[in-house]
Amino acid sequence: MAEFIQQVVAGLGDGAIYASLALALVLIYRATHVINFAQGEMGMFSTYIAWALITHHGWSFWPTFVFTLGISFLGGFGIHQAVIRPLQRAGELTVVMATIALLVMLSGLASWIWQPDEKVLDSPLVGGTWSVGTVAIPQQAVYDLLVVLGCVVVLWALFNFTKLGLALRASAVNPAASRLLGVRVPWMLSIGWGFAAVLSAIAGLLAASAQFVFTPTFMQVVIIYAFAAAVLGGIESPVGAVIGGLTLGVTINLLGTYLPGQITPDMRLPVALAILLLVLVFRPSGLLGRTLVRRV
Amino acid sequence: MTARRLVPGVVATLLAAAAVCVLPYFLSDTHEYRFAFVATFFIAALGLQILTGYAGQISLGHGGFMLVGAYVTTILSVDHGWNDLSTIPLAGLFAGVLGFLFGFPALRLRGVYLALATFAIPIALIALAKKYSDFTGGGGGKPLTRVLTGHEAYVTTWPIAGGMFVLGWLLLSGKLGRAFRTIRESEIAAVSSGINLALTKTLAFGISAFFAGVAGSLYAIIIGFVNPDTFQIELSLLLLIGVVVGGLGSLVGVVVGALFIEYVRLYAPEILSWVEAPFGSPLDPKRAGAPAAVYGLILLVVLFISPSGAAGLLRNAYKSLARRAYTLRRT
Amino acid sequence: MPLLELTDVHARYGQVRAVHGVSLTVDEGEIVALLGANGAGKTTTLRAISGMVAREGSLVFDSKPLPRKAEGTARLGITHVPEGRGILGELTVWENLKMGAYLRRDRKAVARHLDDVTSELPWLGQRRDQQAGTLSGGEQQMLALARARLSKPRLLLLDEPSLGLAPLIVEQFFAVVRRLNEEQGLTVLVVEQNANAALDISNRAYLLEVGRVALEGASAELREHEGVRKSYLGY
Repeated sequence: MAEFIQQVVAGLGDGAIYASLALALVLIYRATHVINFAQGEMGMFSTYIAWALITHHGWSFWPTFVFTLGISFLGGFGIHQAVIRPLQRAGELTVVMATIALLVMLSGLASWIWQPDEKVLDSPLVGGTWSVGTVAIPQQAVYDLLVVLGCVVVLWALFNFTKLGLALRASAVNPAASRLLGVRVPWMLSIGWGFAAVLSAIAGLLAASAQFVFTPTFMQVVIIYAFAAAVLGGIESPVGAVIGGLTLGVTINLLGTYLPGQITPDMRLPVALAILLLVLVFRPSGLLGRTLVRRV
Repeated sequence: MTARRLVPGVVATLLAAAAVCVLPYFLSDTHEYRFAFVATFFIAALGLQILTGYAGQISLGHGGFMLVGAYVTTILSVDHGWNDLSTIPLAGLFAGVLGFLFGFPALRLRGVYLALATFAIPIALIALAKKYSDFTGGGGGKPLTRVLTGHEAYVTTWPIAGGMFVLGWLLLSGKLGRAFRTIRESEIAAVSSGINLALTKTLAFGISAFFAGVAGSLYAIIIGFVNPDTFQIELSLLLLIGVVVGGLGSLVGVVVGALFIEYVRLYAPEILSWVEAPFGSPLDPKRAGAPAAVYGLILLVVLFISPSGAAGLLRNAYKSLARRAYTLRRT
Repeated sequence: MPLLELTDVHARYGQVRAVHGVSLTVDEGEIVALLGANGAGKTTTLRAISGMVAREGSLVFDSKPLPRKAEGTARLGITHVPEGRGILGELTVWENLKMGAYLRRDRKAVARHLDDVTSELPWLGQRRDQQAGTLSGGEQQMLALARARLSKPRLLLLDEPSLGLAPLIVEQFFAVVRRLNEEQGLTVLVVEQNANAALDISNRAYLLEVGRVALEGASAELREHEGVRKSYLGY
């Protein structure tokens, strides 16, 4: 029983990371109807920036954390303005290819600038365990969960209780009507991309803290889980993304614990992919999404 | 298609074929070896062009079908004594069947959702290759029966590339090609013109996977070694980038795409030095990651300047030249 | 000086020209109607004013040239209620109303204004948390008008407000518009295929055909015009 609780908590911790990235994907999809294949690499790049500040410039963790989030926001904003906005006229395929171009470019740039060897992120978000009776709760997982849930709450409050949030939602729902109401819609969409970039940066920083070492490809696994979580929850549902991420984290962890023969660490990813495929085929609107009818 | 419209294509193809035959006399063994790789990428990109450029189905996982072809060839030739070249059709077929089967669940997916699903293919296959290491040699890889010289690689791959090109052209200029193009424009229109959407889409997957399987098989043969990590997601993305840069929906573009894939990798350091120069070259352009950065950058530039790729540029250039020639003739 | 003056305005969608040299004026406190059949260019003219389409020519509002973008024209006090009402479907009724006041900074006045509007139309207050997309067509039209009022417009552009609505609802809608015009001096430019309703409510009207002004004058006179009667009024 103790083992079970430990694994559930650990799974929630991993799941929180997937949820953060999944939420970024959903945010961007709702705002601009684009699946940003580069979302994971954006988070990776942010993490490297943080690493460089801490390791080469002697910054301490928390100021770096905040600064990195700020830079990530600007990066996301800039990418939408400079790359996505001009290309949206050319159609869905072009935009998909643009996000793939960004994926490949950011991946290459990170290797080029900082080298692909293993790095360590000097982060206080690791930890041992707390003992609660016979259960050893991993601190890491709790920190991850708290950080992500904290962000989710802040974003939720922003979207639902502020004028900016209302304008952001309006822009996503009906851009033309919003423009007529005086909303600078392209700016709003870029702000959405900025927030998504912040969420990816958080996912990256937490993931890098959780692993002993990281390399430029460390987010490739996370983005797959995040896609699975986003689709599982319904690509337009932020709540779904969070629940999807947490569920996925717990499920995979439990499967890995109780079926160690079949579900070796190498097999975790294919399992997530199998889930992704199953959801895409049988219930593409996800567990919480709306069904889009396309009868032919 | 009228004879007049065919002429430029046929002329270009004949010229290209002649060039391919003549080239070895001018190239060193190393360069011939590189060009052999161009041939394998050409075949794989051709397959992807059929699926994405003609049938309009985005695939981010074609490297996975190359993996299948590579391993079929390796296992048959190493463990069962087959002659490596004779395994090629079977490797293609095996990959093709797998692609065809993938087509079925893929039927329910559109656009980006399909792209997401295809992401899964190479990742899953790599994990399987690593797991069943008794067959595949696992993560460490498996050597093949022989190692080829550059010249041998060249003369092995290019005739097959030529054959595949003709095969592709035949497939695409017939009813099937038209069905593919209709689907790309509008699936609803396709169904209302009586096209069996399910069959056509799965065929598109199967055929393109066949091409990728052949390419993978050749790749293994000319490298002499097979390793699951070769077929990571980057390869699939690279194939797609090559097809887009060459020009979606253009067979000629595939040549450009294949050249792009092989040579950007080699010339990335040069390109990066040139980009860096105004900033005082703070980073060594030869470091790892340079090629990927350049691929991405070039793709972005192409998307902005000429979304229909090199083929689009060539087509526009040809058109404006033809117009000039026409007006000159009239005056 | 007219509040709005268009001189030789051309407008196009991409390469397709829809408006070929339209000139019109709207004086402060007037209700002006733009009539015409489907495809005559009425909606495009409104969109040219609010900045939603590419246009050439002179567009002057309050003695200054109109900005090119919708965000700019909204800031000048031009509120465009588009064809189909432009309701933010997934937002609630209340949120739609609040978005009407998006450009206003006077929070207390906005709150009071919201109260005024909901006391006039109590059902808006009762259904404030309902998703706006689930309202009926007539209710959405009333919501769109209430939302437009919250922006305190100097010029209200109405695009085919009667489209898809039952005649009784159309009457009620235009009654509110008339009242706003009489009590508050609201200036309105209304595009309508329903020539009857439009001529009833407006002081002056322009008839557009194939992207050009074919006829203009006082609404009362146009009512009696034989061509208008036969083609647009049905008798």
